[in-house]
Amino acid sequence: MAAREKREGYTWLSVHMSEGMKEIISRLSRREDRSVSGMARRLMAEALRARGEDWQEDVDGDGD
Amino acid sequence: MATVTNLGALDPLALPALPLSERKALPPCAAVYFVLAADDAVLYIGRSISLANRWLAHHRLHHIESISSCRIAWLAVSDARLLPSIEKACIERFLPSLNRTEVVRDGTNPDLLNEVFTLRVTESLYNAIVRAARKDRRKPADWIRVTIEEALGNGKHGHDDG
Repeated sequence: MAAREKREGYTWLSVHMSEGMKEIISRLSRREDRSVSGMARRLMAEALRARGEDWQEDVDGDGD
Repeated sequence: MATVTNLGALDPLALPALPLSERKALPPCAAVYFVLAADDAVLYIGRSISLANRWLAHHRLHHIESISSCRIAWLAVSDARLLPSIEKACIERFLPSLNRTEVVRDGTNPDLLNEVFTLRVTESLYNAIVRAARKDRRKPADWIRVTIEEALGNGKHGHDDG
């Protein structure tokens, strides 16, 4: 379902979603002036923090 | 909270249920849920650590809304770690028609999940995702999709006012 590709020092995941979800996240990303990828990353980061998972923050920010 | 020691005795029609149109009133508990048709057929079975959030942004919502008079019944599960095994047992027992059509890749229907976005993550974040997915017994891609849907469904990101 998700292709995983490594390039430029990052892992790139292709995630399948419904059309409705894609539209919602695209709208949110525009509102917050983020990329769709950055918005999805933020949502996942919040969920992971809530679960107590730990990882090293991306020092490059939302530059994709 | 309902507890079931013998899933063989489980009757979805005897569980608490709400019409799909009243899904915002679903409780925020961990649960295995059953989408029931007007004729009481079990159409779909799923699981969530928060039933309420799951159904505010379910990837199958538009599809299920197109089927008239559906309702959502749920079996509250006190230990969320049991959700995958209970869901699996229920699917095997009730053979819901929509689940059966889904088992193509990752247990989801690619015809419905027909939009793709590319997500850039660090190796460290990817590893955290893999760990979380493993704990939930989901594949990473499935975990990402469900997590995003639930995050959007909890309303704090204001997805419904745009």
